[in-house]
Amino acid sequence: MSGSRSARSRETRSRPGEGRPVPLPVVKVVLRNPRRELDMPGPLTVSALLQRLEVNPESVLVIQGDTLVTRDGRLDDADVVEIRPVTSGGAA
Amino acid sequence: MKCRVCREPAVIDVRRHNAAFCRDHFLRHCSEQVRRAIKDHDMIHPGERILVAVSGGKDSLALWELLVELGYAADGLYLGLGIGEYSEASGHAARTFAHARGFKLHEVDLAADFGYDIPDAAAATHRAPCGACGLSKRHLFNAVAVEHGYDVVATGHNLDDEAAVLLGNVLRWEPGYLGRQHPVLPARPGFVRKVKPLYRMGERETAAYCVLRGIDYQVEECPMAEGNRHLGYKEVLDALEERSPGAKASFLFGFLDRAHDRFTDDADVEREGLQACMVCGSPTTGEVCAFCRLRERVGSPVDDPG
Repeated sequence: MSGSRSARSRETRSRPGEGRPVPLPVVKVVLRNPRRELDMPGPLTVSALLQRLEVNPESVLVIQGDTLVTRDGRLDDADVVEIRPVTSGGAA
Repeated sequence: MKCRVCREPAVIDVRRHNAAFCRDHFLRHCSEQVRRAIKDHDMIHPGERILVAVSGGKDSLALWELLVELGYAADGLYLGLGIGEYSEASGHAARTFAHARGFKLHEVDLAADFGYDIPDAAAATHRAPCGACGLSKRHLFNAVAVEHGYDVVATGHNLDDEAAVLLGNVLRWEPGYLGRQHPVLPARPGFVRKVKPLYRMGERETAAYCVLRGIDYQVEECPMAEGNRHLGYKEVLDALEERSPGAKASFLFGFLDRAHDRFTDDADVEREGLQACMVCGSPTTGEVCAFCRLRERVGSPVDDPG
């Protein structure tokens, strides 16, 4: 799981004509099964993020660092969150 | 959102309880759900030894942690299923968890100990791999518990698992299965008691428990379970739950409170006539138990019971 601090340092770039890196104006979203990443324009709430991705909130956790974010939690640019499915298939 | 108990910022909402919790009060909520499940159904008696069926996933690791935290003597059993990288990662998660806590973990490997794995079994039986997997697990968890003198096998079946199984049993009106679907299956000759202490917790809660406790579980889904019927039932129930929080709990708990008893006779009929399997000695209704029949079909060498 990526912490937001280390992710911030990775997610920078230089604007043309400027030497100083600035944070990307996006929320970095990590998806699982299979693992992949996408960028979403922030700020937005967890609820809005899940709605945009058409993910049922009952079937996932939204993880930021070593804690969880509730549906009303606000995600700002340069935040990194993982949307982790919680549904497992074994019925034995 | 604020924690229902202390009004500090919440980390998770549990909509069926119309509540949100901070980390510490959520962990207490989980512990209370398990304590209540055990008490309500008289699952574990003082001094009993428990064998936890450990897959390396969120449910079994959360269960093991919660049982030990509640003071129970619980060891684990990991079953190597031979499903490629998935099994390697699952085994690693189970071993790492047990080692870090000094818990005792038994291991059985299907390929090394019985000469087949789940992909072999699925190919040989021309059936969904989940059937052979479940059959192997049920047989071996019980057999190891009997062999090592455990009183109880505890599995990580959660509220979502049980609600999905119930939906499947109702859709097909399986009276025998409905009669056996319960948080406790009592011990019988040749079988130790089986309990499901997580049946009051949703799988979102067991996953949250692991994240908040720093338990590194196997997140990836079993590749052989992809698209199975059970996952379809869960998807339907999740959609219902999103529209009507508490629907899954009402469905399952209502069945247990008001309907389960109506099917116990059907389950008892199916259990009649148990005898020892002529190959391995385990109790079975036929001459040869289903596990030994599976081994025969996959060409696995079998031993006499001795």
